[in-house]
Amino acid sequence: MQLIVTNCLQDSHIQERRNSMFKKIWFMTRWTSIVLLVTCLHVSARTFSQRITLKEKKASLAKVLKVIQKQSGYVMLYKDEWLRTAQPVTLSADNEPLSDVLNECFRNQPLTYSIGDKIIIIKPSVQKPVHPEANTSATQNVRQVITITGTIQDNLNNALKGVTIQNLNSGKIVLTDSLGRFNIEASKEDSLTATYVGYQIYRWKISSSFSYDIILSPIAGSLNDVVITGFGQKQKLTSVVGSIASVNVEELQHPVANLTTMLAGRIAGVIGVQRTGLPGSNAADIYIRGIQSFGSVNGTANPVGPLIIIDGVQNRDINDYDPEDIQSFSVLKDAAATALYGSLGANGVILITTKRGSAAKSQIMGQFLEGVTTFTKKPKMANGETYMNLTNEADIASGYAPQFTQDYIDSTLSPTANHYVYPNVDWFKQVFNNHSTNRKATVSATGGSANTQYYVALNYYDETAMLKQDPAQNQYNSGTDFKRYNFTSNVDMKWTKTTKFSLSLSGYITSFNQPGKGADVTYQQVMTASPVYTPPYYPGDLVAGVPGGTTPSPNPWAVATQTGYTNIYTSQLNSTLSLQQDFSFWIKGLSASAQYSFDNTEINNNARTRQRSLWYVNQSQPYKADGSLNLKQTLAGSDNLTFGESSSGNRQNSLQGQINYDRSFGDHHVTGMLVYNQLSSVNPYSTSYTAYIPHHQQNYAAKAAYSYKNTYLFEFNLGYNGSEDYAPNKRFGWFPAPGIGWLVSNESFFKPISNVFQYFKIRYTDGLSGAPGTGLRFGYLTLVATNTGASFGTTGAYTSYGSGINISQYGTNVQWAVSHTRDLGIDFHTVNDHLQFVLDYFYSHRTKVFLQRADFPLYAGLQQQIVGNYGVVNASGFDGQVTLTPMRIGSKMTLGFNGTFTYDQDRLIDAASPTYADPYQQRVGQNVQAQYGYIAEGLFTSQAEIASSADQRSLGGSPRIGDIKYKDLNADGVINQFDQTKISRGNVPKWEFGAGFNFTYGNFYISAFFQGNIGSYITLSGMAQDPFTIGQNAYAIISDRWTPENPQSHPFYPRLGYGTAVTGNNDIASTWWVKNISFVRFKTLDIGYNIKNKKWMNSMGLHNLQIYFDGINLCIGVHLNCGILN
Amino acid sequence: MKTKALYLFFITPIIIVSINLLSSCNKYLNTVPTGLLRYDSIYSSLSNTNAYLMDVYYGRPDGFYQRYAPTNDAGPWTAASDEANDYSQPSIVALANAMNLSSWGTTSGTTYWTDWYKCIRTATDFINHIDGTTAVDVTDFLKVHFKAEARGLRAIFYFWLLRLYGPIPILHDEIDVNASGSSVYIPRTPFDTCVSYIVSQLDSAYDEIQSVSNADHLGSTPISLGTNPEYGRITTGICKAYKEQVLMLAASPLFNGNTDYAALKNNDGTQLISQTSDINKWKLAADAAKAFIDEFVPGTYSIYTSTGSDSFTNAYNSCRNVVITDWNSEWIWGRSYLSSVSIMYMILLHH
Repeated sequence: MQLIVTNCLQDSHIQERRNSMFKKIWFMTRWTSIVLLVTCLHVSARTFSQRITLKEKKASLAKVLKVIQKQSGYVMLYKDEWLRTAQPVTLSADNEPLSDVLNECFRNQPLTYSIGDKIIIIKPSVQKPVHPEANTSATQNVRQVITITGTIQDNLNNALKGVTIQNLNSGKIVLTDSLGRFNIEASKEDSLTATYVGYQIYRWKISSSFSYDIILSPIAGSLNDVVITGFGQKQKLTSVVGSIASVNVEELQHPVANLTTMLAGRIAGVIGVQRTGLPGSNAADIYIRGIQSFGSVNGTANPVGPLIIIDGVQNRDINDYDPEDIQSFSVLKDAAATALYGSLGANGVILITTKRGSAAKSQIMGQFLEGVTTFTKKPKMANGETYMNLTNEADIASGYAPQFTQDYIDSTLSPTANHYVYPNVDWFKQVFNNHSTNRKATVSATGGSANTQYYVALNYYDETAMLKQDPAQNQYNSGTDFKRYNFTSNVDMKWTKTTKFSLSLSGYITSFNQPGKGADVTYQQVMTASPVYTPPYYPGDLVAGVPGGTTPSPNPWAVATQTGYTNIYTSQLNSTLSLQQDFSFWIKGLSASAQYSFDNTEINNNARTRQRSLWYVNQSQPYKADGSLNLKQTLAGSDNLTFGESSSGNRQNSLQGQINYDRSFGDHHVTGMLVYNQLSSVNPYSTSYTAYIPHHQQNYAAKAAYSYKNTYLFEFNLGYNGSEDYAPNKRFGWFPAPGIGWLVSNESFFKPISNVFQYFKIRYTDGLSGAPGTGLRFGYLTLVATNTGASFGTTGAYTSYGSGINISQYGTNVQWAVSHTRDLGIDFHTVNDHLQFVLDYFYSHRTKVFLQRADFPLYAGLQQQIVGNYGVVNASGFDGQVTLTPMRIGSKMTLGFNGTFTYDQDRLIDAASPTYADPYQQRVGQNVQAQYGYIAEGLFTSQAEIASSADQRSLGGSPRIGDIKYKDLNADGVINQFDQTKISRGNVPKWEFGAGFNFTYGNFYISAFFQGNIGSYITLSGMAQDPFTIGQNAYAIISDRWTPENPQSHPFYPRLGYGTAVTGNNDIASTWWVKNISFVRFKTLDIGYNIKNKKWMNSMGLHNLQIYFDGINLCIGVHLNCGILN
Repeated sequence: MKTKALYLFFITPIIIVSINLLSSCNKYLNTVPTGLLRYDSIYSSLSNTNAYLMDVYYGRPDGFYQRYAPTNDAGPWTAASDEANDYSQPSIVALANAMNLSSWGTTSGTTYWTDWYKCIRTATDFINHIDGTTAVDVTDFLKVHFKAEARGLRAIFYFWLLRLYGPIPILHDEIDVNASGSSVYIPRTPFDTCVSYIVSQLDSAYDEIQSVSNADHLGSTPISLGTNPEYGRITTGICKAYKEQVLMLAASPLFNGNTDYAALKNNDGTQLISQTSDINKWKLAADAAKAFIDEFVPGTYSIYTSTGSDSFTNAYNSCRNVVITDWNSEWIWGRSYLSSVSIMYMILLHH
């Protein structure tokens, strides 16, 4: 979506438009090496640190073991008859290690033991007992057979029964018991596998540990697949009732700075619009289920984007995370999924978790990428010849003398022209290089033991814009460059069998450097600067300008290279401490967790800028007597840099406590959750009393779910939350959202068609969620401020009450908006579970949208406009996802497919504004982003037609032949504001879709993704609508225009003109300027080859090497080119 | 043993923190910005109460700005005369020039409508709440006098609106800022009802000032909060003078039985301008004028005359100095300025 919208955005957001031209194509190769370090230094340290105190004389081994079991908490596994053969034990231990005590017990016994995680297995010795420590020694006989114990769990921490454990070396096979436990004989260096239907095969090698707790990951798309739901709950996809979409995070792992640019088309229900390609600010706006809000208060618009929660904490910026560090990505769309977030959730919620370690061998992953970026498309500007000729044409058509003489034109175009005197500049070439670079490096390490796991990563990202620099200005760096350094350190520790402690730290440092006047201003001026007014510079390090006035005429090259530089430096630290306690020993299925987080952001903006003197050539006498240029100064500036600084930041504390309950009773499954959460945040650089008061919010959430036979699902979600910005008796709101689900495919009557549909589920949810307003603080308070006063008395005895006071804010019943959303979903699998569909339809009715009221009469006498919750918007739409899980073709090939679509429409129901006189003028009933203007009927073909048509003079200027003719909607013979109606639905698309495939052939793979949208429009304005405004340039498409010699009926431009008195008729929003900007683009292409386990790699310590090519935004197919792009 | 100790080690602080949280939950959101000047503070001191009243006075037209009308609610009269078309600042003097050029539009001069209704709301709020003031320095005398000033000003603003726009909506209370739907809209009040409301309010203001007048505080002399008499505050004389003006307007054939306005009706059919001429309206106006003269002339107000030997110069000076001599005997109401230089422009309360 990104490029075209922005390229064509010719409305008042000129700056945005300019920035947007610079979406990149990345041609890059990257290689990845994964090094497996075969050192497991975490030799069950805690196992042997258990200490035992006992004193026994000739006691039975059974008795002694019971004491040990009691003290250590270890489970003993043995057969009673074995212990009967044991010798009595005499020993005395005072805080001795467990292993020593056990060794003492089993000395000279016909039994041997092995220690696993919390399990001691005893059995008759078949050979000389072995001391466990000896296993770890370097002299260990590698063929020594030992018993390996362990547990197998799924990623919801449920024990898996019946998992096949196979020793690939000996061929021995065992199954796990109902608690997921297993024990199997193996030797060191043996390879084992754990396999279970619906889960990925887990392989590992026996190192020096005897015990392995293994978590099996479900195969993506299988029924065991797990999604993250509100407040970090993991839930099996089959039991989900709400509308929740997740994405395979690997699809997002492309070399981009901002994750949001990867979302459009990949997740059903998400609309993404990228407005700019400027490094450092090229994130995309994302909307879940379109735009469902509108309105603004004091210039701040109501938020329309989703609530983003990263590792359980709000207000963390999704774009500051490196895609490589992300573990899971869920999008909560309907009320049942978002109600838990109460008044924050109505615009949807995105839940992201970062990677954490697992109990596995350490893996170190390194990645380095070097890429090339270039313009995907760029605007095509008029060249010098077109500019001069058409400026003259516009002048003549407007009754002015032509600006350029034929002599001047000929001199400029002459191949021998001195371009200092007769400038003719292609500013694009002058200011931009053809391509630039970006670079990315990642090092991460993950691993751990059963008790401690870690994930640590360092990322580096560097993207340079294509702006040139002036080698002569070498005392500073004005290059436009964005650098980011990320770090992540997530550590989990099991303090006891049931207590887990986690410390998560992440942060980043970014540095964004740009020219003093701004890269955005440079981009803007590249397009507005006339090609013939000024050269970039004159010999002798002199900057060129245009004579007249103190406002320098555009010289984009000077802006890019001569104005000093600005640096924005951002640093952020996110830290979270959390504690999870399993209370199953007390009440089965009960657990609790607590989490505290502190986030700190600092943004420092340093500007070292200058305006250098500007010079021009005296046209009447271009050369001095000695033949050198006759230069005059038009603006006196300075070469010294001036300094400016501004800072902002955010400091945020949040605290969360949570109780979970999850248990099955036969066919009944019950889940419950209670959450308390509070958050406080403040900008420490706030300058006003009110702004410095931290934002506080308090949230309670509860969820109860019940399912019977995994077939009938019931769920109730409840949010209750508040903010201090509302009146004490209106601070808190309830947001209930129930839902039901039915897995029809589990029913016996479904069996006959289960060969067609392997899985079929119907979901329905209906509930409330809320949306915060503009963040206006304390809107319930009526405040007064100094106003104008009065004076009395005579001049000699004068009394002045210079400061009157009056109301500066009317306290009203401000609150949050409420969305009532209904969602009907159908999920089904066909073709042997290979083809999977998830389809959702929703309808939402949002009331109490916060806005500035326009329906209050002036005679109410209010000092200020008042605000309130009066807006109403309806929205509906459907979205869906189709997945083809990788299918095997032949013996070596696999093919997978993934597609999504999103359709949204919204309708304004009430905007607390007066109604318009005529139905076609109404805003109510249209979508909230709709644009309004006149209907263009074509161009006037004769003076008679102008005379017989409605009077258009109130638009500015008298219409000429070749000017746009508008429709007189109210037939009053005059074209004025009462003839305006909806002319387009705006630039946020109605349909968004994406589709991609994944193909592998042996070690070779290729994956590609296409993305597009339908139903987005822009209305050209500014320079695209009115060429030559104040000496500005025009787009090359200006050649396609109405002229008396060639009176086309529908050219791109009507008759040219100069000055608002002439062009006012045409330079006005109308259907003439509305352009469809729907498109399809080749979003990503990833081709690669995996090299695994080659001998030469082993010698380098490499396990896996991947070489690939990754391209982004490779090409674009525009539905209807808006005419200004190359 | 150890594990149990560990449980205690973790669970105890969690319980303590939870209890603390629950007990402090109610306080967590009790952040109130103490540093902000809130509505209650208006009536907490004499200076704030007076300052709020000053914002009602602010709506008086400032004659100095006639050239820039409608800035500061001044009227465009000087610049709008045929010989004073001000081209020097055409964009600023749009209103004055618009009259000369006949380009007066439907939205020209809306400033009067917005500004005076603002003052009307402030005055109403002041009248409704001044009795509840907690400030000890706002004496009972001041409460009554302030209220009368606000009431008199409000009536005068209504009068000016009436003169400009004809029948206007008279609001009997502030429209609640939380109101919605049709309750925020009120119909225009018939012209004669407007007149009787304005007259009754001027009479009330007169009575209130009279009720607290004593030897020190004559109703015809403005009060002073400090040492100087604060000329320009509402007095009994101003109330009576405007009463006469209002009744004169009501008697005028423009609104007295003008059948050109037969179609001017509210949606519910209420006739806004009386269609039958009432000769008695002239008598009411005359009576009001007589009452004013009887009470204030020549004791309080009299014709300003310049005294001197030359009668021609006297006549000239009488005409000239009446507008540049500060608060002379002919002034009933005007604006006050520290400098006497521009008084001739400034004092005018014409809009």
